[in-house]
Amino acid sequence: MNKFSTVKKLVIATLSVGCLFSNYATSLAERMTSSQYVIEFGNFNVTSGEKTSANYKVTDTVGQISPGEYDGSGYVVKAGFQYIYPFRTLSLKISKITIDLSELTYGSFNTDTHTLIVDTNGAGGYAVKASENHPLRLLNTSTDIRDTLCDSGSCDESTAGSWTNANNYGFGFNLSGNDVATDFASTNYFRQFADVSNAETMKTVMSGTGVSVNRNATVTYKASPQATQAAGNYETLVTYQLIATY
Amino acid sequence: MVQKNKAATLTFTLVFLTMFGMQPVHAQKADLNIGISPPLTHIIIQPGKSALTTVSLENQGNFDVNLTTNFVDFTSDNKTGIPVLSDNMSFSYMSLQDAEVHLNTPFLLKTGNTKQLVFEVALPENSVEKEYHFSLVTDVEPIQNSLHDQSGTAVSGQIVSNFIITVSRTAKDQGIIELQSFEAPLFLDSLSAITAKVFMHNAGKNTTVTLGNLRIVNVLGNVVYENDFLPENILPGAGRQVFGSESVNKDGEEYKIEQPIRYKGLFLLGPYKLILTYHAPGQEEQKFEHTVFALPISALIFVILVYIVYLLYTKSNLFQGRSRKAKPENGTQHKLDS
Repeated sequence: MNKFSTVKKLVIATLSVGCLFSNYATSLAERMTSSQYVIEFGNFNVTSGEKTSANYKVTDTVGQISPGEYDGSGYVVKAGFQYIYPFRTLSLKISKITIDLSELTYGSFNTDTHTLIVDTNGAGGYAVKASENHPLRLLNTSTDIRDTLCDSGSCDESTAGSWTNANNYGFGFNLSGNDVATDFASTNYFRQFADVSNAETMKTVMSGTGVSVNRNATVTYKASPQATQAAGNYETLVTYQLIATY
Repeated sequence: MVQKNKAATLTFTLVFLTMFGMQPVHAQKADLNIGISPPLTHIIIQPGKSALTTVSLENQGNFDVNLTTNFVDFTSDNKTGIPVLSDNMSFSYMSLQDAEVHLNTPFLLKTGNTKQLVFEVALPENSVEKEYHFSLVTDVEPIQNSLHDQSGTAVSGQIVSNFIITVSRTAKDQGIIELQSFEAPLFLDSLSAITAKVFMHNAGKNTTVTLGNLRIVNVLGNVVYENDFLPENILPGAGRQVFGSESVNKDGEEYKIEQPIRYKGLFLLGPYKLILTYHAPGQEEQKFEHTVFALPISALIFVILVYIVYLLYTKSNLFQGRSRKAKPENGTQHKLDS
């Protein structure tokens, strides 16, 4: 019995180690190819220094290029903010990609939240802009839960307003945290999303200057339906755009 | 029996670990996390020449994404340096050098992977000297986030990298920096700070940077504040607010960050001259002066208030003193009457 158990353990251990190696085999070094170029590198910092292939050579210059100088090739490529800081990766993180407002009831609010995290890592400033494809819409219909007008009827996609009375039905969002637009005066201040279907352009909801590392804001989505709202699933697509300064 | 249970437990544990523990964990909580590098590329190029540049996209999220890239022109908002994107692309000499990835067509980027896009700028010989500003806008659609697969509000992202292409025969910086506006008070309180907002305009032909500094000189001729401008890009024909700068060492690298133009002394008094010098890299130095008068307004108000309180206090004492003097006389009178 003991002998059998030891053999069994050994077999299981061998199989486990085998599986372990088979998993690791999928994560080898980066090698990017296309029919025209092959670029190999040992780390992800691909834009620092020099990139070469048989066909081309790209040098990212760091530091000031003297005015009026070509290096003989007839071009100068300056990647990043030459006078300020070598280029870095600009990144946007969204903590959750589905917002669930659950079952809505007339006269009460439902909410859901997620976070936006921005890193410019030493680049210049940045802005995060937001929009929606259309107001919350009953699937395959043109029935909407309108964008909120807030309590006084004054808020829109550019300006937040106080919204605490759920009888003032609609859909809106609030931002709190780092670098958020100043019109979000408190967590009771809400805006509409810019409605792309209504030719509205994306509006800035976060912005920062200088070095921005781990800038973190919480987005609260809030909705309340009108008394005669048709039942069903209402949807939209919210898009956040991260754009660096030039 | 105990041995058998132990073996079963061990088997289950190892199989569980093998199947799940060693695999990358995919999304109990779906994070979209996308990076782009560099955020800005400036190419100065002669007509008839070609150049290559790269943009890297990195999927740091915990699920695969479909990326769609396209170019659109941008303009300046004349204030912040945040590009204002348009719907069109006017520069037609930029192409993506990739057999598998095409502009305006979604391509897959698996979680943890990076895709390097190689772009070629190839100008015809007869290109005129001009500058183009456009952005590479990358739509990020989480694959598990198809709008039609689920109810609720779906969220997606876009990330933008900017390009400036200067077509120039000489590569000479032809930027001309002009002072667009200078906002500073004429008078201020001695206990407050001197602040200034400076907006510069580029009247030249290409994107350039504002070099120079701002000094504040007191009535004795001493420089009490001096700060170099942070050399940020200003597009030709556009304006931008410029800031002071501060050198910072982060992770062993020296770089500059933006600082507001602000001087706070212990007690400011008299005229302070704000001397602005500025120029583009290929331009002669320009100068602008503005004088701020610091007056002890709050100190004077304080003194006046103290004086008023003193007056009220002394008058009150005087009144009470008279009252005390008057009361015994009345009392005596009362006694006499009774």
